[in-house]
Amino acid sequence: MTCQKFSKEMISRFVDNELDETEHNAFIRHKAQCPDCCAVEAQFRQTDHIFEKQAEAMAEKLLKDAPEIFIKIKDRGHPPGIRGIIQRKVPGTPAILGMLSIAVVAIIMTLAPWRHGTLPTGGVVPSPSAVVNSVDAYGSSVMILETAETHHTIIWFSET
Amino acid sequence: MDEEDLIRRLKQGQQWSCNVLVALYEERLLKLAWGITLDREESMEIVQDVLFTAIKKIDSFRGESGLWTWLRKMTINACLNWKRKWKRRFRWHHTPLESHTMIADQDTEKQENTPESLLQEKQKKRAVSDAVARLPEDVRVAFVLCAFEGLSYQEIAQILGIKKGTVSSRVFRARQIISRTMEKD
Repeated sequence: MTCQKFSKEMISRFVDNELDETEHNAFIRHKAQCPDCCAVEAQFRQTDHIFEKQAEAMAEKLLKDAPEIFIKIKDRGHPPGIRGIIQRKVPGTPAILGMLSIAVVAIIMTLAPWRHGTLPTGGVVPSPSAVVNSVDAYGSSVMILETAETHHTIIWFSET
Repeated sequence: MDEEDLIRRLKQGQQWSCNVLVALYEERLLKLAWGITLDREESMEIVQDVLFTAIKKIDSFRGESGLWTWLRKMTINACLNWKRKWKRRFRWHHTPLESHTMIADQDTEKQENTPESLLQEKQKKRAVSDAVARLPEDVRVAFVLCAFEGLSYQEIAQILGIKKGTVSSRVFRARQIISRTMEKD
């Protein structure tokens, strides 16, 4: 409840310093003698304060409960593409070693006997289908391949 | 380290400067994001995305406004867009009111007052939590920017693309709704 002189919206604007100078000074003089308007102003300021404190407390709690969510953005500075991926996942190891590792895997995959279905003994091995799954970890990678017809599973592990 | 130095190092891609950026702004951004969304998981995701984007696109930062102003703008836009994104996916996760009041209760325990005043304080905080959760989003965003950031109505109007008078009425409406809820309790 306020007196007739100043509306609650005007008091809200006073709290935010949005009244013009004349209105601002008039309200300051008025509230010295009007407990109702003082009470409204105090209530508005209190609600702002309580909500802000709740948000601060929530932010603090969120960070305490899950600080690791920000790790992923802490490794900028690596070049984009494959080289960047290698540098991110193998810190301290020259990128060239990581790339060599991938190159070796690629060469083996290309020249491997099962690629064209022929073994030295003359037997025929079905070609693998696409990579079923691959997992990259720090300094190592695993590829799981499956042959098309017999569904044999081939697990390729490489480590740098 | 001042802000110019931090920006320069970020543009150079120095990793530790990313850590500094995160440490300086994560809590403040989380406070803002949660104030707008009232959703814990979403606010964490939004802040993470904003910081990641800021680091990735630091070269496009011209320095006309401060770093905080830039981050805040991205956060506000992300917060305003998240609900539209989830509404499209038919997912509306409304955080139960208990989670709003949980923080309020924890804060109350720290004060040394009489049981009656503690109870009153607790009820007030719960009332504020309940009322804030019921505010329309556009009202809450204007109120958060005013109450948390201390922005002028003109600044808020520019950020949200609305008129100054609209900002004034939204902020007042937020306070009115919250005050009425507190009076009922």
